[in-house]
Amino acid sequence: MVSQSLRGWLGVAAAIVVLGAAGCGSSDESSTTAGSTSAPAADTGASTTADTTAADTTASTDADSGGAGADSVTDYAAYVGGSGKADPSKSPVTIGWVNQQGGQEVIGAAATDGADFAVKAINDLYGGIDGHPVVLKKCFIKSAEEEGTTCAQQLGNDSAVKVVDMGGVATGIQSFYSSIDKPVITGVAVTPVDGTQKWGTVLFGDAAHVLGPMGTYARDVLKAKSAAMVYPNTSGVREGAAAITQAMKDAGVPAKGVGYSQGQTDLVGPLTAANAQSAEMVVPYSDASGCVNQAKALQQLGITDSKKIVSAPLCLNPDVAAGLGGDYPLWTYSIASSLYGDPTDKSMAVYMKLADQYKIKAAPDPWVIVSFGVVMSTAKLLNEVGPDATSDDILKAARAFKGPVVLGAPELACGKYPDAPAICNDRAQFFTYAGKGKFDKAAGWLSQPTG
Amino acid sequence: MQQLLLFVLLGLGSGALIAGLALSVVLTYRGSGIINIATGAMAMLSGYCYWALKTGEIGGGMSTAPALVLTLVYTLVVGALIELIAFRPLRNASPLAKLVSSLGVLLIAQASMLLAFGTTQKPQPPILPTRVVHVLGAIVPLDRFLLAGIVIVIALLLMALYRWSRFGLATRAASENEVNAMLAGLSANQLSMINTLLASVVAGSVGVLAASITQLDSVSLPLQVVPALAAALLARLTSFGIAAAAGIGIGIINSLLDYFSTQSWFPTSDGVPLPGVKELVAFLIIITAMFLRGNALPGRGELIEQRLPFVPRPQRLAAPAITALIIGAACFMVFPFDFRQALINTLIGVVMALSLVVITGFVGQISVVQLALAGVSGFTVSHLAVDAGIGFPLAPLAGALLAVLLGLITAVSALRVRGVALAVVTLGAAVAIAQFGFNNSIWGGGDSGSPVPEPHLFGWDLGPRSGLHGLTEGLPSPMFGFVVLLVTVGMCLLVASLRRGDFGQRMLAVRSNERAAAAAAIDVRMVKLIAFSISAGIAGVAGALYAYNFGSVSANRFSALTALALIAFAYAGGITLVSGAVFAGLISTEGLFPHAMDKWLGINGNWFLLFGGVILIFTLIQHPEGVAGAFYKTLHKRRRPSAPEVRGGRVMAEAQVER
Repeated sequence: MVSQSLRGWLGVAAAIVVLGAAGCGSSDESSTTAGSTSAPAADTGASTTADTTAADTTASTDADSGGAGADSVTDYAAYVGGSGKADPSKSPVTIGWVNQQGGQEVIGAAATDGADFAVKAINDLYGGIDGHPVVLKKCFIKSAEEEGTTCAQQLGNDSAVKVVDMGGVATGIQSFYSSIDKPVITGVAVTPVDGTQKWGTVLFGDAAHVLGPMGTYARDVLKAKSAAMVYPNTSGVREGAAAITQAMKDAGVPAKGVGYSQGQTDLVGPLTAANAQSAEMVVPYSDASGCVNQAKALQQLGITDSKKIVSAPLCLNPDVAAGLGGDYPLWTYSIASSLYGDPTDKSMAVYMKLADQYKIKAAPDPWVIVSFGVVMSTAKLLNEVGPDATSDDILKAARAFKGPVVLGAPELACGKYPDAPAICNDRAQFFTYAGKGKFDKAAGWLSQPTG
Repeated sequence: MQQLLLFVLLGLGSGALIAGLALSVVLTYRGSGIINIATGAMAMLSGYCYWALKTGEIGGGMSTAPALVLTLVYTLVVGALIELIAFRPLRNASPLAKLVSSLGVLLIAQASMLLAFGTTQKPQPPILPTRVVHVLGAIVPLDRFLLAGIVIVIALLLMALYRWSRFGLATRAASENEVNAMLAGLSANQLSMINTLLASVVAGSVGVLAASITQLDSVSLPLQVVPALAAALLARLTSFGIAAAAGIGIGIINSLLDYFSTQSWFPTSDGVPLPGVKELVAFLIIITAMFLRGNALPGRGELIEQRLPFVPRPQRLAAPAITALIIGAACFMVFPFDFRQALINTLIGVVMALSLVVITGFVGQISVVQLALAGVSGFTVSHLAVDAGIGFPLAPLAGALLAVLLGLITAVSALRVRGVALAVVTLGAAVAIAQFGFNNSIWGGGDSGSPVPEPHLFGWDLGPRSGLHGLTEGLPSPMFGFVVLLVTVGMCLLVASLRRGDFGQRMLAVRSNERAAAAAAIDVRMVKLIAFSISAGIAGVAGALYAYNFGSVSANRFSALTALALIAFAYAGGITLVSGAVFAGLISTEGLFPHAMDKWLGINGNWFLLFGGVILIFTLIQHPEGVAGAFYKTLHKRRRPSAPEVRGGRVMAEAQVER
């Protein structure tokens, strides 16, 4: 029997070992801390390829009009509604910022970097909000439903915060919306909850709506006669799977879907059950936490045709790239935003130049692009309604916004879906990833197939 | 038929992974009597070590052989540390204390990997060949067969070792009766250490070899312990052969269910296969097997497990209740909004922990399903409000009643299953309820989530958005705090009264010795059924409070892993005492203690996870009766013994402090 004092010393030693291990490791958390806009290349989107930097990431296309085509936002200053430096002597305009980070599951690790990037640009180059500098009041949800309530109260109870922008949040999303009475502007909604909210505006769309174009892609681009889909049976993902199933049905493409348990590790069985080995289109659909397993199983089964494997952009995540040895899965992606390096996207060219100027190494990350677009659009709306506008004014302006969105869809239609009034976009582009940061455009903006 | 056979083969890979972990669970249990919830986490640690050595994350990058050797050394060191720090000091503690200790190990393992290497999944290099074979018209990776073969060989070796070697016989002797084994010159500590090291090696091997069928992160492998526990339980935590067969069988059943889910007859929801069917089937298999193999009473020769901590009889009820009401109400008025919310979270955590005080503290039944029952109540409140327009107070009452109903169904299994086996069965129930119940869009959370409107009574808004303000404005309103405070104090009084009453005595008698209680004419079945009902009802009330607090219900809040953490912190607080529930509430998620740690010291997220794991183990070692129990002991050492009470014509001596 170990004596009490020895036990104590053993315990202290163990704690030191544990803390030492934790402290000495190469934590990826640093790339997601608030305010950091200088994340290392290894943590950032396409630049995670072994020998690829952000500048190497390119997209090629045969289409004439990339991004939002003729409607692409190329003059960011005119878009935001100001120019030059914001006046530091004026009182700041506070925008709330919520992201899920710091816990076991991180969805948009670099989203906060994108928001910070936009704030810097707005204050330095685009005149702030009517000359007032913009500041972000940040709140992070780590891993608990309770933290959604906490963030909502922190931002909701602060009278300086008139509007809240949101990155990638799944945990605590319901409790967050239940406790806040201010406009919440989201880029890509991770769950179907956001779309139904009274105070929500989702500029780039959510899974249930922007995955519908996969049906059109299957029918019109791939000319597929069959489709297979696997997805984890988790809240949020399953609703997206249901949307894809419906889209395939509307497009007349017979599809088999297999939902597997969250903890299931070997996905060869589900893929075989879905007939993935013979299907003409395969949809591995998951949030970032499941993409590595899906990619491994597809690889093991020899299903490697990057054109016929179509997935959501949630797999374009640095975590996924790291889990696969440094690069994203070589699939085709349905994306509701601009893609870094797309030479046909005039708006992207401006963004890339700006990212170069500010040395934003995380710039290729899709979450940085989306968050940048969200904060820029929020600044535009605030400039339109004025810095003293009420929350109701801002919500009205957001819902009335017809686009185009910086780095997003050419036009918006908020309220198009009565059951999801906050959803403003249901279109997506398709890019095939060729590896080492190179994307090829597979299709321009597609809509959902009509049933 | 060919298709069925194909899917049987396709289930071998994940089945082998589950089987390997199940073997490790059995090894640990045979050596130290601990149900090691951290078995999957131990596999994860070895996986991380091999990855780090092989890819150069630590050192300059190694070839396979030296990386494997060093991983083996690391695995052994981790196993030895876990045995010395977390398991051995609790050798004579209750089974629940041991289980909670292993949960502490799980928290520390997960948190340390998250802090060291981030949330990023790691590209673990495969060791087994990556070739594929064509079987029954389909492609099947060869490594699935190899992994299954390796696990079967390990199982056979272990069977031989424990059947024919002196070490095996000694371990069997010690696990049957440690005292007699020691009298025969066997060292129980040594045997336990060797078994834990063997368990570490088996789990670590699985963590390294299964690289191609899993992903290396802080969640995937640790989660595999749930099916592994089921397999180990089917093997009665003793038979390696059955554990391996059951593990592989679970993998095969899952694979067959994948196939069945594509058939036209399989039920669907929103056009996709109904979720949670696998978890439900797995639970039904476990519960059926356990029910058939269990006994209404423990057998005469069965090992008598160490008891839970003492249950002192509450002396005064009114004074503490009134004091709590006054102080609580004052706090709600003067606290800033964030501490108001933290106090509300604390109080709801207290109610949830009280549910465990009744069922585990008083009756000795280790139930992991309580939080899921709270979820059932929460979803009921939401559905009644949104779909039927039924609000407060009928909706929470209905929610609590439904929780009681499900609690009774759980209790039926408890009539023939007990101890740690019941913990595993109820863990299966919690997983099934979460996956089949909460994730279903019809009776669980829908596409738009599960909103919960404010509670109103006679035109008064009693919810967080009520117009009543404290000294500082902003949500949540003190009004909701008062409601939660009132309910919490009421629940505390109910539980304390239970302990003081005759039924409380019967519950303690059942906890002490079911056979003796039955011999004393106590209806053991009835006591368990009533206790489960009361406990479920309290959980139901907590679920309704959660729902009103969040203004919504989310499946994530009621997951099985969260339930395990709840039990852990309830135990650390003092699972046999009402004051223990208060301690548990203080450290519950976003309760007063975590909130203060975050606000003043910046400790949150993964750091808090690590901190929680370390504190948990130290609390268990230093105060096996929990913080409140230790506090009670210290307090009552200084007091003179009170006079015997006379109640109902019977003398109820202070000696009724149960041990």
